[in-house]
Amino acid sequence: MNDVWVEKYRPKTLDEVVGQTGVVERLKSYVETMNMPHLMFAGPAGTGKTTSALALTKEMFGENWKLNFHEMNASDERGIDVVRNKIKDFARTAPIADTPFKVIFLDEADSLTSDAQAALRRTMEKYTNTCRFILSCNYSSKLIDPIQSRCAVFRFKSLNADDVKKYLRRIALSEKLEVTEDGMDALLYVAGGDLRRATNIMQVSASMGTTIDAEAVYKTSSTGRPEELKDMMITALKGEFIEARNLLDKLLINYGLSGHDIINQVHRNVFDLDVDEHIKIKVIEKIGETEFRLIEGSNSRIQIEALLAFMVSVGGHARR
Amino acid sequence: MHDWTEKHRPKGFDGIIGNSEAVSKLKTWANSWENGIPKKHRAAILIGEPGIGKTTSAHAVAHEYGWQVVELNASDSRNANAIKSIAGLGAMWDTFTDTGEYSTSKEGGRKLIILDEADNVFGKEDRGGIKAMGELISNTKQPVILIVNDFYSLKRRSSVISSKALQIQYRKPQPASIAKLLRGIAQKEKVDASPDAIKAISKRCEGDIRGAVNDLQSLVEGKDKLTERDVLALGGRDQKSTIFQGMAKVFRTNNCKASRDALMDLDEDPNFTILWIDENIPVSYSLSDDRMRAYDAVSKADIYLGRVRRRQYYGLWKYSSDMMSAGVSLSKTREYRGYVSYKFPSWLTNMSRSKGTREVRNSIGNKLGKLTHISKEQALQDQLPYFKLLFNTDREFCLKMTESLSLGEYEVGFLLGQKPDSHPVKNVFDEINKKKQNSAKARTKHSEVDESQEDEQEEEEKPEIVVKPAQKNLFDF
Repeated sequence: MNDVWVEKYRPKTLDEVVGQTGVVERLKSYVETMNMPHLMFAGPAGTGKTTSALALTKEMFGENWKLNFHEMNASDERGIDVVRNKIKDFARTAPIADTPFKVIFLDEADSLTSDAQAALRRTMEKYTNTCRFILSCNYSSKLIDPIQSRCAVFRFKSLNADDVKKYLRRIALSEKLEVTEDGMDALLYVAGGDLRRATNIMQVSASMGTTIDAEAVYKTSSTGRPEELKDMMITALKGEFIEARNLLDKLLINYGLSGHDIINQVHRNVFDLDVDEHIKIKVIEKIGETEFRLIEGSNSRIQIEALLAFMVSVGGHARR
Repeated sequence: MHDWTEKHRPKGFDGIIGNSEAVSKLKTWANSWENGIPKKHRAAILIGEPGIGKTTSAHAVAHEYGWQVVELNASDSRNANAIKSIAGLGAMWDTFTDTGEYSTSKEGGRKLIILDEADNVFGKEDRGGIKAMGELISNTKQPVILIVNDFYSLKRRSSVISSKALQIQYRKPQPASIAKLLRGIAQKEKVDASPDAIKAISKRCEGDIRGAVNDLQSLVEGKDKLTERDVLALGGRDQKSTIFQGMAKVFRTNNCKASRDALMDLDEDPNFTILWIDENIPVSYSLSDDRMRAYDAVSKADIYLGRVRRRQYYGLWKYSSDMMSAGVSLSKTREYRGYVSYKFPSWLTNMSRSKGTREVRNSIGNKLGKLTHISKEQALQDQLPYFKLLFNTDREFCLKMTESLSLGEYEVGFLLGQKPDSHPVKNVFDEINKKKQNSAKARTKHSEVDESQEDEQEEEEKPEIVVKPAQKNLFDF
């Protein structure tokens, strides 16, 4: 076992893509006609957007697909210069070998700034002859209307249990693993319809033994999440601000979590805390305000500190 | 006019100010070189802030023991080759004298190798420099002195350097001892300096002897008299005390204008000031509700900073300053008395300490993101934890990924939770090389395919040097 399974078992053809029958049928018709409009793939993480884009291009272009395919992640390069330079340079040159056009796959397109989106709109229009775009995003509404109207929009459903099972069984068979029934249920639960997550957890569980049961899965899935996050919340509610702030710094610096990640996980964890329900709802409201301020502000640490100071105050253990 | 810091630099140990403990430690170390190569520490590392006598001490050793000096400092090219060539000199048991004559160590004496500003060796262009330095320290046949300001960064990157070199800490001398030195220099230079002026300079320099001597020289340039008034003309703005005073005003006053003015007087970028206030809220206010209100005010100040940055409209800075000063001042519901020792923003120290690590992590994130078709951010959040675990538990995975993602020693070190020059990291690269050689061998020996395959298997079955006993949790680094 020496590959990253999310790559090793990424479906190679459109037929292998699980759980998106409607989408796949339409994409296959593009392959047949060797033509397609600009596409937008919208849907939750790990439902096959990238996989479908790769498979579509491969099937359409055959062996020369790599020469005419350019993959970019807008969250790595989100500024307007990227659209003006990189994307434009690729888009305006003629396709290589016997293909009718090139394909740019722009992942996480919803993280492009609005300026960049506006620039993209013009680029898409101007170079349609040589280049088609596949934009991928979690929410199509985060992209400006003019871009949406230039694309055929495909909505990727979150995967149901049977789809995920089907895919995981395929891996188990190939890796000669035994997945117990409760192990499979646990995988489904922790993955929450995200095949990437399910596959990663399965690979790590498999590195500990060839039988995958619920215990192995839960053990693995908890290693993905830093303990410090919950500790930070509990510590703040107990009234120990400085301790909680140290944990925050650890999350930001040692784990490299972004402010948004921390806020999202804090929000997810509130419901499981062992505190009065009235306190929970106060904290939740403040979390919302904090996320809003994160977007507006400049330093996410300061904003989350303010949240922690609030939690200390409402926690009821603190000096008043 | 000569540079006084050079002109008046003491030759031997006698003129060195303070640091008697450090100097005696240095002497003991130098003595250990008198009878052949010392068993324990071939190198000494002098640690301390700028201008407090480290370089002077190193040269004093050479002077007192009659050793010749080979010096490499930051203005020289700092790469592996430069250090290796110095190390080459160091590896020679016998030395040449300056006139080129051959002399044995007994006659010709030793060559003292001084690497000044050794903590600057880790620029991006200097890959391998740290490794070469470690080798020099371990294998040198001539005494080596490293001089650093920031020992922490060195220690973090190399276990060899911190274990094989004798660490000698230098401390800031007292203003009184600096004043004494300045008086001596003034006398020699025939300058009439008032005692108050000398006192003011020696206090102002905060322990930096070189800075004090430079100040003295620049102040008397073209005159023969020096008064305290001249020193004050230097500006004398002591940044630290000003920001401490600013903090005290903000946290103690109940007056909006007084608080705001205190920040205006600092004349600092609000992006910097906000970190000071943020750091010192919990030490200044003890009531949790007061803290909460203060943090709310700081959070609003930060929103204005964000808006300034996004719109490049600096007119909003004033509201940010108002919120972080007056807003924080008025958050308290009672008076706080008593001495508070205000702290330097821990965020800044932590960020600068972790800079190297964060760079390495980002570079892994980029590579992992490219491999699995996701963004760097997402790779760091969703993929790296699992990747790291597999990297530590599955040796084959570790070797294959190191090769296919072309990970460097810093990256492998990060993933294994080890220093980049440590044995577990080296083993990874050694194993990869061995495998490559074996497969090359297998290719050349076509007729003996079976045999070489056996060889290979044997190699693989050898018990590995354990990478690190199973981590308790994934982030145990």
